[in-house]
Amino acid sequence: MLRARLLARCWAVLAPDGVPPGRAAGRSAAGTAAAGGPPDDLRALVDEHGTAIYRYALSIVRDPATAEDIAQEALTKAWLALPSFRGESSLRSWLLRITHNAAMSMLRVRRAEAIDPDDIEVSSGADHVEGAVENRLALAQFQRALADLDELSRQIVVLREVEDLPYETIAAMLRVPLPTVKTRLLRARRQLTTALEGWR
Amino acid sequence: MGPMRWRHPSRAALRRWLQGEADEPTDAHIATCERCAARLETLAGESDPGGSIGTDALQGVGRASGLRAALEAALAAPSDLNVRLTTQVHELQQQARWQDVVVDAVGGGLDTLRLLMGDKEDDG
Repeated sequence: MLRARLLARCWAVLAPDGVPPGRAAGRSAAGTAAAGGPPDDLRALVDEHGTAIYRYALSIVRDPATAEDIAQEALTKAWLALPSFRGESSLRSWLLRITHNAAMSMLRVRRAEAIDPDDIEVSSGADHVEGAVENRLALAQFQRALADLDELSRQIVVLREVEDLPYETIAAMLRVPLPTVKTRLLRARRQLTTALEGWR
Repeated sequence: MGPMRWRHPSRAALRRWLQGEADEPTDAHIATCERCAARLETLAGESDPGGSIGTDALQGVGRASGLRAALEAALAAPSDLNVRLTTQVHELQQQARWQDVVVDAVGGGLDTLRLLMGDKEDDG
């Protein structure tokens, strides 16, 4: 009995589709992967939301390598918890909430280790986009303005401007009153728009 | 002798706050006051008649795309990010499943030992 159970577990690990627990039933053929690689569902999830998760994480921690670690952690948690996702909010806002929690945990660890996020090189992310942006100095200036915003305002402006989340969703996600979202956004837009002047 | 009356910040204070000046009492008040949120919106609209900054002005079709594009560039992801993330998440998941197997194996060994000990006690 025990031997059969162990064999079953080994088979589950060695099985090519790498389906998370609880997802095996009702899976379509399109959801499976070839030759033991990541399942297609996972690829699709990452392709659709990976960049947004990374971007939001980066807006909080301001370090590309840490943001990628957070994105990885958030996606791993989300992938395992996906069967329990009830669709009460959009998938994107659910994923961003998981990302938010992962980033906050990371910041707590950092603060405990007495490493100030302000010490992190802000412009390091520019390396990824230098080919796409005409004026790197202007981008660096904008990044500095973004870094100068307080952590909450940075999150709010990204969630609203880039992810298009409604104010109410942002307020619930960040656990702040609605006026906080509106006013921080107003001020952040103002400060960032001023920094954008050099770009145009 | 009741508590001090709760007062809204002056227009000048709101304007200063909007320009990024740190002012803790104003900051704390604005965080929860719907009325001051609306006043700030009006103030922002006055100094930005084009409506490129105000919150509600940006809800519709005319929303400024410049800020969004700049944010996307400033927070751009590496081009191979999704491939790396997919592989990393898959590997982590596989590792976790192997750990489950090991835990099961160890747990099974303990169960067997307990069973044997129990049998021995029964025999005695």
